[in-house]
Amino acid sequence: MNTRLRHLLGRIFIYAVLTAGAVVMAFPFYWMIATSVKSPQEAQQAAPIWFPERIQPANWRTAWRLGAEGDRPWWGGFAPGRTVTLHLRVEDPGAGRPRARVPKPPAVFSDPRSESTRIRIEPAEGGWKIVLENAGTQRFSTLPLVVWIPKDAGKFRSELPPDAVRSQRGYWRLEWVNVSPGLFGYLFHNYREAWHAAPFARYFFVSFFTAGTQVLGGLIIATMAAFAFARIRFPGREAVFLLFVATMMIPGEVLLIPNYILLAKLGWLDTFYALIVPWLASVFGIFLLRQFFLSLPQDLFDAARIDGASYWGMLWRIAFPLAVPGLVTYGIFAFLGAYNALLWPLIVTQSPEMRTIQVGLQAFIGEAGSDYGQLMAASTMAILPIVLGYFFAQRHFIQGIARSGIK
Amino acid sequence: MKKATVLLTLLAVAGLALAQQKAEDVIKAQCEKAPVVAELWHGFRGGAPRAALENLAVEFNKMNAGKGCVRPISQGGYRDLSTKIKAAFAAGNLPAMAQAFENNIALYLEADALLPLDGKLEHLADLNPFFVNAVKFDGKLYGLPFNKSVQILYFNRDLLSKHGIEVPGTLDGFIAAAKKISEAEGEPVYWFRPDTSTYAYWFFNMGGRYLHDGKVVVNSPEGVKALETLVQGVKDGWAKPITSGYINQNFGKGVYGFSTDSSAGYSYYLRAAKFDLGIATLPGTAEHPGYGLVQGTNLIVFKDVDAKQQAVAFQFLNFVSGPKAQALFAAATGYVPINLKAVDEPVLQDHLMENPDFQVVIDQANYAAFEPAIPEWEQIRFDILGQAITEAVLGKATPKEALDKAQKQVEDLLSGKIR
Repeated sequence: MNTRLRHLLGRIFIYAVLTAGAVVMAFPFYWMIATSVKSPQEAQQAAPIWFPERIQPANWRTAWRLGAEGDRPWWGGFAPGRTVTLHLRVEDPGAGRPRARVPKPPAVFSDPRSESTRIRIEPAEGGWKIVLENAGTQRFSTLPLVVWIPKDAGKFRSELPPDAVRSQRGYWRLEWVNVSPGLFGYLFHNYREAWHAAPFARYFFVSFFTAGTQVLGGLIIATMAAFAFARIRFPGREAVFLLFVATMMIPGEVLLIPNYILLAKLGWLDTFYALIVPWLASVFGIFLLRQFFLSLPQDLFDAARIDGASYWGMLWRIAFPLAVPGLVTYGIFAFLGAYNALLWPLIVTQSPEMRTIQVGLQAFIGEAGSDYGQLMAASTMAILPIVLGYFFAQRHFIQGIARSGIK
Repeated sequence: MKKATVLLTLLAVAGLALAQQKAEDVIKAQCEKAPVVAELWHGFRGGAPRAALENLAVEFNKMNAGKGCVRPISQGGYRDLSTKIKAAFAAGNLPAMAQAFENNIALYLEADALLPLDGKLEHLADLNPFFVNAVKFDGKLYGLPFNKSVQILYFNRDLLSKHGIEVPGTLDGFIAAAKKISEAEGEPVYWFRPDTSTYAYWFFNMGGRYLHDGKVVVNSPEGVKALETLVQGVKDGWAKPITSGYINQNFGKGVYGFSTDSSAGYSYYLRAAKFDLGIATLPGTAEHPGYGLVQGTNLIVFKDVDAKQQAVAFQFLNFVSGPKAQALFAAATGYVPINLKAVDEPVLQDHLMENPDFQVVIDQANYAAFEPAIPEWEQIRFDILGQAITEAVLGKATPKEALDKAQKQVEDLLSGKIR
């Protein structure tokens, strides 16, 4: 009994430690996902907000109704002829009529949305109702709104919580990024905005194509080179290998400008060649796989030799299948390296069609502050494929990393 | 592995199908039809500045249809941009236009890469003369001031009225107000980032200047005094150094009273603040406001580029420096309108009606101070002087020691001893 109790206590302790570890590891992910559904003001608070307004079901019903009034209950919108009514309760409606307007996007000469929206502010029970009518012929996907309430009106409550409340002299300035959101449009506002902020679909394609090709090409080249260094005796082998390894000492930043000039001379700038070719041969990969091949018993190759195998045969029929964990390890490193690369793609590409997801994420970082809500929404989208990929190929990953002993 | 492959393929296909239309795409379509395309490499990563610039380009291209088009291309941040320009210069594929700080211009001029703009700018007489002077080298104009921000005083109006204190107008009044509120609240209320920008405010308003007979001096008596004021402020409990993130990201951690920060951060301050955030011209002397450091870039035109592209570039410069475009750009981004006539435009009038505080930015632009326009300044500003300021504020060295050491490094750098 005593030993069983001790065993049980030991178990509980281990699970507690593991759970604590898991919580600590998962914490940044929760923060990322929670921030991805925050309004800009919520996202910028120094004291973290754990339950943003947008994940509170009480607000969902209003978002659904307003979305349905504007156009569709799930994704909202503002269709021609539709009217959206927002109720605003204030303590003392006698303090003065609020003002409202639909803000314009930055620096446009004309803006059909704010120009074709008719705003009426009518007294309603316990406060005011703001009636917005689309008098134009165009449908808009979102309907932002700014309302000023006199501070003398006392406490106020809006059906749909404003995304930002600021004090502005004698008024409270209430801002909504979308008063006709619909349920999903409300919850996933940052995701939708982030998706439209840059051609992320294309960025995903470029990132995956680049990383995938680098892994495939890199594996073939590294395997052949590593096999030659490990199993083929040729004059100057050690010297050449040393030269290869020495190149690992040169910091990448030093090579940036010479490589750029070379690519410019080849006419490869702003093409997939520039993104892929310079990274195909990886000294790290060659080194890693060489160590793997060296650990295989020489007897296998001697036996193959006696049976008449060529070097080519020994590589593909003996060394390659035995080195799968090493290949997977290198594949993961190469893929993550390519997927996360920032400076190189930024320098060698120009057009939006050739830019990668990491360059795309830059769109939410400003010079005096960042748009964390959208940045986190975009980051969630960017790591989603990696997380999904991990679930599908978990076994190989763990084997590969466990055997190589590197993380 | 098979499942993963299928998934990735699906994602890639879905990705291609979902591509949509935006300003960048509109510009691309406009440029495909245009006989001449002039590229503009910029350092706006995103947000309102980038959107505003792209919207202006769309408008310009519409007006200029069939003749030429301008294509803005984001090259990451400003430092990435200057790296890329150096590489492109070496490779010989420069764009027609780019954004550049004054010290970048000095560097590009060493390679004789820029075209003077004298006689090409039709709105020159209306542009803010301080900004224009800052981009004159040897009497020639090499840039069009574009996105300029200026240091202003941010303050917590609720806190000031709680303590019955007026917005300070003089340097001494400012210190006195910060001291008084800090004592009452029991914690420092003047928040600052220990960097070259904050320092510049105190330095310039204590009569300091960096260039003495063409020589860079960072350890002048005024410099030491400015840094000592900050260090003493921390010791006396009225100044708080913010070492992680922007000041506006730290709201909620303690009592915020004042900061002297770039106007480019105004929209972020507003977003983060729940209290009544006020802005004012910087405290200076009884006669006039304090001098504020001007930051932000200019648009430059490169020399070794096809003349047709240069012609489009000049048209674009005239377009973006016009009163209407400047009014729109300033209202959208919070940058200082560089065209003095922009304030008469209805767009900016509307903006001022809604955001009366924006007038502060316009007024402060008349009291503008600049850092030296020498190629090495970027390195001095961040790696030498900035380092010295941080060390002194964090108590790792006395202000005098830190600045003397910085002076030595500056001299070594300028004489080519270190890089």
